[in-house]
Amino acid sequence: MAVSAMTRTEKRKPWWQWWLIAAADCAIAMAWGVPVHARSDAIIWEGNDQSVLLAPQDDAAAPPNDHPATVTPQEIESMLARLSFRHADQQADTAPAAVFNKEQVEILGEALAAGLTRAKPSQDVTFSIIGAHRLSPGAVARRNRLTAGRVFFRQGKLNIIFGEVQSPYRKKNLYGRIDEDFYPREYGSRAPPEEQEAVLIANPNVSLQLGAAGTRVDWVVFDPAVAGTAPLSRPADATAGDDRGSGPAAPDNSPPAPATAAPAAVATSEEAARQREATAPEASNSDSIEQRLKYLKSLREKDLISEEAYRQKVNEILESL
Amino acid sequence: MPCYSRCQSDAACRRTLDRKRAGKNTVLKHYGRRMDAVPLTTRIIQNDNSIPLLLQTGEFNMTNQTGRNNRATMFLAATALVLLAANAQAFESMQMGEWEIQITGNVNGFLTNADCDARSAGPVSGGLACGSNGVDRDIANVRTGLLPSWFGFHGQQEVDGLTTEIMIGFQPGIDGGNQGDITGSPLDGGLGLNSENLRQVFVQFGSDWGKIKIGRDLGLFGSDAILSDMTLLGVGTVSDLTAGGGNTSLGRIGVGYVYADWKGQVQYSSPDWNGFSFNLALVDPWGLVNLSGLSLDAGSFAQQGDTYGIEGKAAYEWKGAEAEDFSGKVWAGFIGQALDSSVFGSEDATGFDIGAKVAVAGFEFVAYYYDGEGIGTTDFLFDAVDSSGNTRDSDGGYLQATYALPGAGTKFGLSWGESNLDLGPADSVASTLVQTNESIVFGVYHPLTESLSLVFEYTGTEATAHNGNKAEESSIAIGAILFY
Repeated sequence: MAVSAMTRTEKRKPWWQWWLIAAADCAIAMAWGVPVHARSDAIIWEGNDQSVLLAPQDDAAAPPNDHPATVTPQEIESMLARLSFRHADQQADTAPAAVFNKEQVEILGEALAAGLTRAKPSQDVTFSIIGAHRLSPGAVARRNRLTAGRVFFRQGKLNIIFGEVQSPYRKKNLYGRIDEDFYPREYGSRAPPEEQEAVLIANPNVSLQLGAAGTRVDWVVFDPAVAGTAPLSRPADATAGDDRGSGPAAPDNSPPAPATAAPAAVATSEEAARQREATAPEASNSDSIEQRLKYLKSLREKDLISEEAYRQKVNEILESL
Repeated sequence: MPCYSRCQSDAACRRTLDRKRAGKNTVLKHYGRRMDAVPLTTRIIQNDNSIPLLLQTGEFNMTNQTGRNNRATMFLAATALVLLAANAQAFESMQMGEWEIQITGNVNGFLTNADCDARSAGPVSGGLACGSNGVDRDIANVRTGLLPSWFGFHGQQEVDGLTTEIMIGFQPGIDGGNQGDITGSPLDGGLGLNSENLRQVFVQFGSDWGKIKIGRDLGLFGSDAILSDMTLLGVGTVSDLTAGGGNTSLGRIGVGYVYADWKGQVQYSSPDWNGFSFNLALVDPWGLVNLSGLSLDAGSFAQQGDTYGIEGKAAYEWKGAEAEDFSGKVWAGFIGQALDSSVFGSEDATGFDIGAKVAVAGFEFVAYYYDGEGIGTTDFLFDAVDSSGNTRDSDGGYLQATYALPGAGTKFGLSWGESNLDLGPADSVASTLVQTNESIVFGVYHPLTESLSLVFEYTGTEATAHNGNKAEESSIAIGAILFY
């Protein structure tokens, strides 16, 4: 029976096997240290489960971006602050809600501007940010919502494709660890999404991208050279001390304004505008009267604007002829 | 709803539908009541004890009247919280003043059927295959899996650059007990209470310099092993220990790793330095347990419990830019605790572990190994010393491979593992003490939604004693787990 104990002893791993396993672990770590290091270089901003990162373009066949690009934080903030949306299943006359709150606008303005100056032509700048939004006007409780997307600069315009617009932010509890998202975060894609949960609203400074299959309600385009950085107005329900809940400027349902009608950029963006001048194209065809009318018609067909608003805007365009 | 029929075969569509439903929140009334549970739960925790999970049986509940009343009260309070939250459709992160609050957890249940085969006339003392007690039988249960159902309350706020957190969680089981003592478990039927644990109560605070955690949470040693175990969403080994249902099954506990268990601790967590991090914890002294009947327990060892245990872990984790890119984690940890006895002198329980987990293109592989002296097997300090107070050596590990089908997300997994326990100097070579607990698991985990998964598992477990006695368990589990 002594053989039994001896057999058990012989089954134990010799010391060199331990080191072999440890060495294998270290080898894996070192082999993949490079991508880890590369990822750290790609981090523009991180905090509390949010990030702004440099990431490869989502479509390898996409034309290269005009990166690095210089866009001032003020210009980006001016665009973000005016962005509004409504849920896809809401009626067209439902009042749109601001996409970002004040704090988010400030964070993204700085981080996206920094990211665009560091990005390569084959890279986008992705963002994932969480904001507290009131359950209803005046409510004390606020729910945390996730907004994520990708940003790139091309042909003189800033593009943002949204993958998430104020999606529910939930973490899965796995054995007491609450690290994992319930839903994989989506950063938007140049390919049209199968389902659309949020509909972004165009305004005089921001237009929606026209795609092959129609207007992309998840993709906004902004021309910083012509949009300016006008002071932001406050929404009606903003209250003092509500740093996260105070929204940006009141949403505007107007269709995109023609480039020539926009105010000039303020001094803080003049330098950036000069740097873009070389790459900025001439006035785009998308701003033509015909395209604006088609765009209005597509909005009406999608029931995104009312018949009354549609007729009013058509008349305004026709009167400008 | 119109989209639902299409969603049956479209994961992205289902996800969209889930989100839409979750997103239609209404005004949350009386939300502040959630905070009322904190002092109540804290009071209950004061009546809790440090008896290891495997010994927290219904019998304990029945004899601990004060604890039972408090737990019943907590159940009512928690139920009220669940109803409030459900009414508001608000199982998502909320902001209350400066506090970010989330209620999280899961509920799971399984039909299990285990065929217990005692392959020899004698027992396998400390064996984990059912039948190790020397009795052939079949066991049918409707029970909770390895992951207990969970109700977790998490709050976090940031003040002057300091992030503070609280986490309070309790873990009820769905087991209705075994009225009439059908399978040998204590009476805990319809008039009794479901089994429940109180595993997680801690406060944590930190900043750029790292975090400090004070309270009860998962131990460090072996934690990544169980967190990487695919049976965490299933059942794994049933064993004689949990044959009556109980709060959880064993999964791969004791058949691949030593249970990390839930320990009172003061833990420091380093910041994440480009994927590198480490943790160090002083833990509540753990007591010896005589699971096999051939060891000394804390009482018979005259264990003094005069020194803290210490556990540590260093890890390196990397992630690809996309979910399907190469990602993974390697880690190494240790555990140590002095075993001081007024009768047998002093011994040390020490062990280390290493592991790696890599994932790419839907595949995931896990390799884990541990080795120790005096740490015992199955759980820390289980059967760790022989009848003369000498420590026993132990080691073990597991290998696991899983593949998730693209699109559908159905995950197929196969894992093998074993845990070995050596004889101590005072043990007879003809001892019935378990030498090896070994198992192989095949599992299918199919996500119906992002929250709900269906699970099928087959587990074959074998226990072998030093004298050659054997027992085999073949079990099938079918069930579901819902995260909220």
